[in-house]
Amino acid sequence: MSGKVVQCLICPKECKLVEGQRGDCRSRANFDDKLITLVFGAPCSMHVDPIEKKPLFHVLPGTRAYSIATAGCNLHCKFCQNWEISQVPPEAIRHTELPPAEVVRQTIATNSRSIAYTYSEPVTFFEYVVETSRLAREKNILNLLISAGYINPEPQDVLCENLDAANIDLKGMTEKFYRDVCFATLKPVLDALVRFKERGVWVEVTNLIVPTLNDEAADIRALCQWVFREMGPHTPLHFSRFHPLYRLKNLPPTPKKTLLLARSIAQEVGMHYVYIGNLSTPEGGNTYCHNCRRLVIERRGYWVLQNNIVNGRCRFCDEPIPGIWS
Amino acid sequence: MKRVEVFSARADRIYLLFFAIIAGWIFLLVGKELFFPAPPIPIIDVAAERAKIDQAGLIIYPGRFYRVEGEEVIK
Repeated sequence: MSGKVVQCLICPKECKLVEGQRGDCRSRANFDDKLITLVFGAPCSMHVDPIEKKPLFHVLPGTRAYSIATAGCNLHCKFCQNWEISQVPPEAIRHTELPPAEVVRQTIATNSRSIAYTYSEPVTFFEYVVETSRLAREKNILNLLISAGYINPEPQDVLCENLDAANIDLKGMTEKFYRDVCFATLKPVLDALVRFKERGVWVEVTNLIVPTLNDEAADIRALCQWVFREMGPHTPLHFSRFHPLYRLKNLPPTPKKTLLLARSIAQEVGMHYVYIGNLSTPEGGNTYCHNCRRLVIERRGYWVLQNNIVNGRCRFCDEPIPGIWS
Repeated sequence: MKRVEVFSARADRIYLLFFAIIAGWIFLLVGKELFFPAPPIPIIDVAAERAKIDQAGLIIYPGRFYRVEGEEVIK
């Protein structure tokens, strides 16, 4: 053992680690001059969720997604909604031994059509995602990434090989917000979003609106304009309601009017598919055809009440609706 | 006499410049460490780390995408 410094290159933080040291994500470390992961095949959360919970509204609506997460995250958002698993080291939380082949077996056994790598941050359990997604594709199971998108380009390309869809949490539109609130940087996330699209991965974008921090109309407009310009008007955009948790218990939940305002700004900018999450609103969960404006998918919470998409097209005007429908 | 004074003033400036360069050099060597110290190298109890991992029943699995100092990137 020579005690060399190992630099992790998975995410833009590029942590330099001495022997025995953990990365910022707490789940990757330097042992014997090699980078190792402590969470391969060791999820701390496994659930069968409706795919709408991810949220992915344009991917196999009404189906189940077998969802897994391991402990750790490379971001430390003060508003984290899953901090009990994302902001702890893997040894501090119970885990289950679940090798990739077993994840695929469980997915089939629970009649799930997809595997979602979610809850915490799949970038930090990269090797587990890559191996599981490879096996899943062999069985025609979709692979879904629910992530902050804070990843370096080369590992992202490897992820994309077997990835079908991603929901990327675009947390704000300023470097200051990312630096002060999330302990990360904005630019790599924007680059990753574009790269996912270029690699043919279906992308939906989520923005959690936190009162006083990123709820200015100008910030929301800037975000919508960027998504419109770089990702296209058909990219589904989800505005999520914040609940006071972790280090921001002092803030109130996002008011309904702020979410409705965000939705109207996005529509004004030209976005076709804008949704409101974590709050029940009459239209915020529904999908309307961008061509004829008729209701094509009606949702209540995570449940699909009616689906008027036939072979990927609007039943009323025959316009193709962007997404993965079969 | 006047030529000597001119020479003397010029020499003063040269000495001043010389001392400024020396002072700057010393500042770069010493002051940099004083005002902008390098982050301390963390002292890790490797045995304790391994014990924590073993106790939790976690498996050490090879990671991807990293660089060992002085070597090529491992993908």
